[in-house]
Amino acid sequence: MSSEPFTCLVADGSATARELICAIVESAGLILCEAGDLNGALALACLHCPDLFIIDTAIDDAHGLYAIEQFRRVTRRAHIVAIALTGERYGAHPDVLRAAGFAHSISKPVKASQLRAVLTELLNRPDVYRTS
Amino acid sequence: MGASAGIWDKPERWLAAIIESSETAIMGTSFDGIITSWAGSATRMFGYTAEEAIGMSVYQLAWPGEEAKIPDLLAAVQHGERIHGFRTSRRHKDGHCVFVSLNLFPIRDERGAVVGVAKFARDMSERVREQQEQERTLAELITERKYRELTEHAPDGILEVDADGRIIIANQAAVAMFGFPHNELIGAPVEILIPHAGRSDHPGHRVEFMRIGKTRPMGQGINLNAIRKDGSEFPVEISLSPVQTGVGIVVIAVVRDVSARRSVEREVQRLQASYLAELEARQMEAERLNRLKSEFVASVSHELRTPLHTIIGFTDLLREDPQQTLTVRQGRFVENIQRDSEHLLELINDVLDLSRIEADGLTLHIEGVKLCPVLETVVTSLKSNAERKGIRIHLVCDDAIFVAADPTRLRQIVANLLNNAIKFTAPGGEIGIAVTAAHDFVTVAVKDSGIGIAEEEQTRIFDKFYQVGVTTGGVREGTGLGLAICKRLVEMQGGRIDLTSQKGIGSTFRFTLPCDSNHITS
Repeated sequence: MSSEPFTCLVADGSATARELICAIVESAGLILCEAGDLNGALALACLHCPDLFIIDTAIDDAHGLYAIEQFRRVTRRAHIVAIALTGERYGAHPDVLRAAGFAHSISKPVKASQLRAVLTELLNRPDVYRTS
Repeated sequence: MGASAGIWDKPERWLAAIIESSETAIMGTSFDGIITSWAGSATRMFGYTAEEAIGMSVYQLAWPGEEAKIPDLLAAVQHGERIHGFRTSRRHKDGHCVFVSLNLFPIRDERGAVVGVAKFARDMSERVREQQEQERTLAELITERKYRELTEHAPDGILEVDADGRIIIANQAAVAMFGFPHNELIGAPVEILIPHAGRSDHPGHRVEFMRIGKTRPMGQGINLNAIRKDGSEFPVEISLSPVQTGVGIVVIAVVRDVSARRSVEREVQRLQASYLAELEARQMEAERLNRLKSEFVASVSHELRTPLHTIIGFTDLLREDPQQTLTVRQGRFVENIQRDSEHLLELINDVLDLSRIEADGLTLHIEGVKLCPVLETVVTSLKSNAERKGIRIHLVCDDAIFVAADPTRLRQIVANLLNNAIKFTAPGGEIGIAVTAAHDFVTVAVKDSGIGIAEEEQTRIFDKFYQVGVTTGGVREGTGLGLAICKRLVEMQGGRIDLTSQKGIGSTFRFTLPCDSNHITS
């Protein structure tokens, strides 16, 4: 594995919520890029080819749920590792999220310990793509 | 003069001539009714010759039923009484009835003693028959008059039509209904009352009706119309009755003008349509408002939840405080903010859930769910809350049990019940979760050793906004929606929920869900 830190793209329509996620991700030692809408997120994804995506599914009128394919296209990657942030109390239906291409989901409000645990789990997986 | 003088000289001849020419039957009988003399018109009146009659009993002459009166009559005369105009019936020799008026006199001997009975019978048959005929005629007249009065004053139009289709009787109601003077109706073809559209076919129908000769009751034959003299048409109901008379078959038609009724029916239909339209409009409006309400609630809830999510997230971050920059007091403040924010978020989520359920906006994804992992997940997520109060949670579950449920909503139900159990159980208490399967259903029981619920509150515990409070020693957290939501969610998934509780001992909430048919549990 490379010693380069991982890059994470955070996409959330709420600046405050975004700042919270970024703070947690940053505290986990990842390099951050953030966007308040999908177009911005796609542009950043094209530019930075992040290792990990954290996407609020409600962004841009719930288009976040269907954004994985677009990220694949702009990053030219066959596999995207993404975490869905959902507003549902007990989480969105796992089948729906799986079908949309998300590796994991976290229900808001996001607890720091919970997100860090997920990050650790995902970043230790061998299938996480590393930029060279 | 000589001949005349001869008759007057022989009074018995003169008397015999009078008797023989009399219209009266003159008879003599003994007191026991044996005929002793037979003269006058007796033979003509009763058919017996004198030779036949003399020696017969008068009882043989009596019309059946009249014999009983004879003894009294004879006895009376025997006692010297005279009887005048006694009306009775006698039987002619050929069997027919002869109505007679009797005069009875005693026959006396030279000494004046009564020795027999003289009877004078006058034939009243013709008079009685005339009288009976008169009575019959009178009765017929009365019947006829009653019939005519009935017909005349009937509220429906009544027409009598002969075999050629000519009107022979029309009552007042028919005259008023059709607008023809009575004299114009009588003798006119009934087709003048049929609208032009059906007039040419009517004679054929009429002939066919006469041929079949079956009564057609009122109300059969829908949407019949008749036409008035002024050409205006109106709806009618008609009953037709064929009647056999001395002059052949006639048809009595009873015609009812149903204009008013049809008008009322139309008005009722109009009102019904208007009412239904209004009802539909109101229903649509209610549905629209309900949708708006749901959208509003969803929107407001989302807007409220978003900042709460970040408040809770940031306070969570602050509490970590890796550099120890917060004082103890500040740390407690942050903890307060987080706890109350989480409580507020729960309230908002409950309102949103119930709003979705009531607006039928909650879609369930029913699938085969392995129950134990779901229960374990919920227990794990709430374990820290329980541990803070020193409460132990025991979970007993057979790993082979699957239920047909929405996993997310199943988690929500269990979490709600377990949360309540933790909330209402005193520190150091115990909570048990047990699963049993029977008859295609799985039962999950969440049992606590908490404060229990008073019996009077148990029936209302699943009502919206109902909170046990008075009996729970002041624990009144939440919206009072959690159990109402649980009940709806369980029922939406084909199950039931109930509780048993004893104040001061604890409560057990049980809910059932159908077994997953692909994983039937023995």
